[in-house]
Amino acid sequence: MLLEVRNLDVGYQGKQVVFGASLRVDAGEFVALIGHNGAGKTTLLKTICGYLKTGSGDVRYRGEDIRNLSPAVNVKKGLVFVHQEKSLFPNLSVLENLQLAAYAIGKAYNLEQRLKEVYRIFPILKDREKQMANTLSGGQQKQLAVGMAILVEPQLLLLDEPSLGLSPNLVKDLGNVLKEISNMGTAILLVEQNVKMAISLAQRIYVMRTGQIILEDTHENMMKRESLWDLF
Amino acid sequence: MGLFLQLLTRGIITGSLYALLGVSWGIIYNTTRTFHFAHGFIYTFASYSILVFTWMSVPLIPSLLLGLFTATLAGCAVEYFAYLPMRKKSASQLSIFLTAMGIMIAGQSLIHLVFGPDSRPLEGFPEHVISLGTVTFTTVDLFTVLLCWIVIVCLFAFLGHTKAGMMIRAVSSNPEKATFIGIDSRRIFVLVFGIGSLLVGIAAFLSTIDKPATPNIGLGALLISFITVFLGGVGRLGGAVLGGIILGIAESLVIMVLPTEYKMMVIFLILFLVVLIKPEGLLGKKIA
Ligand SMILES: Nc1ncnc2c1ncn2[C@@H]1O[C@H](COP(=O)(O)OP(=O)(O)OP(=O)(O)O)[C@@H](O)[C@H]1O
Ligand SMILES: [Mg+2]
Repeated sequence: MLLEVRNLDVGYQGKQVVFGASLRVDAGEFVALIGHNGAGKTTLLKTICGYLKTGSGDVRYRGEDIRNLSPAVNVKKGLVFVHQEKSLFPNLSVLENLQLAAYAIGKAYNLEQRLKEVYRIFPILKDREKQMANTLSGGQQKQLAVGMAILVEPQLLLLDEPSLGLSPNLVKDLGNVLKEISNMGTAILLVEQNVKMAISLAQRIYVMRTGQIILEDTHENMMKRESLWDLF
Repeated sequence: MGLFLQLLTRGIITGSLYALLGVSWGIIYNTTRTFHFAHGFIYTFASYSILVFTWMSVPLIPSLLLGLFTATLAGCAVEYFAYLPMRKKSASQLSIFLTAMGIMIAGQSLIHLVFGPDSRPLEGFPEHVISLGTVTFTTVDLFTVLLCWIVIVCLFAFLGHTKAGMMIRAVSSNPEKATFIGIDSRRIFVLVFGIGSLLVGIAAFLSTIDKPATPNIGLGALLISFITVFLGGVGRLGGAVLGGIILGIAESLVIMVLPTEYKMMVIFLILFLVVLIKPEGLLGKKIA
């Protein structure tokens, strides 16, 4: 098991928003977490990556208790979180954004080769290399954010609503890219509002409602469901 | 015309120094959003450090380097031992500001206590008058302008083209994201305080070879430092450079119509007018 979260409670200034959440992600697995606005999905991801501290509960990554580690440390262990919004450095160029992702980790990457790989997946980034990140379109910004994450070859990618604000076409493209990343062996925990996309991509799906995980089911079972409305 | 050119030259000399002061405070503020009031103390501290080394008969250049080194350390220490622990405890901006002010006042008093209120000149720098037509300036002035711009260009090159510089820009443009990709912002903060303190130390040196140091020189330098930043625009270091030049020239030219005592008033008036019309500063971007 790559990631194991057990009975996690998280809150902000004493106000609890995540209640006893448990989930797991196996190596190379594609898992989705869906739920309505304010359910606590982002809070849960931010806790897993070490940005928020837990009230109680367990977060284990590759068997190690990582509750007290910072995101900076976790990134170096291959646990990479991509923010829902503001997920890049607006005043830096596309290339600088990508380079930074590698520099920050400090591992001796073959940066050229990793860049090539990112540009193969997102060719548009190559064309926009010199452009400031804040001048990219919304879709391109998402690509850059994901590009920065995969540049560092994560073992587990925590993605917070990457489809937010994308047109249906782009959502489809993004889905294909995520599929490809997953096929290359990276485990993904995808948080989505776009339920259809999430269910079609993931092998296992968790549903979250007002701070609790109320359902866990497989891709096949979720696809067979008539309606998902009862979940929300 | 002759007077105008002479004052303009003065303005450029002063403006260069102000630009350097501006970037020294600006790099700290833009990156850490800490209102580093104690920057004024670091300025005074740098000046007296260099002086102390010369009093110990260390030659001027080594004294300068040693003084800059201690000032840099002092700046890092303020961040590491005062601001950082406060930020860790989620102290408010106001309490950090008040602490900074406390360090400034205490530091200044300490220097007063140790060295007395007298003016302390920094000797040994060759000062000759240079005349170009109607305009005259000294070798100190020329050296000041040259060194300021060399340092500013080096700073921008460092920020633009090195890994550390890129990380500084990253932290100032999106601190949360910086954490998520693995940048240790605490280290970047200390680095930035070091750089800012080194720069303000250079400015202190340049002004001390021109005018003797007193324990309270820091306050004026501090005011100029942050006024240029807010005038030029927070988040844009180029703004601080522009702000510095504008203030330097304005304060010099104003002598044509007003007595010099009005200098500081004019500076605040310019800031007030600019901020009234364009709250984000000359080069600043609107905050969404
Ligand atoms: N920094 C914060 N301080 C206080 N409360 C917060 C903070 N961030 C989130 N919350 C609250 O925690 C709850 C869960 O928020 P969270 O962002 O985790 O939801 P989400 O499931 O990601 O929603 P969305 O789909 O809209 O992004 C919400 O009620 C929200 O108001
Ligand atoms: Mg969210």
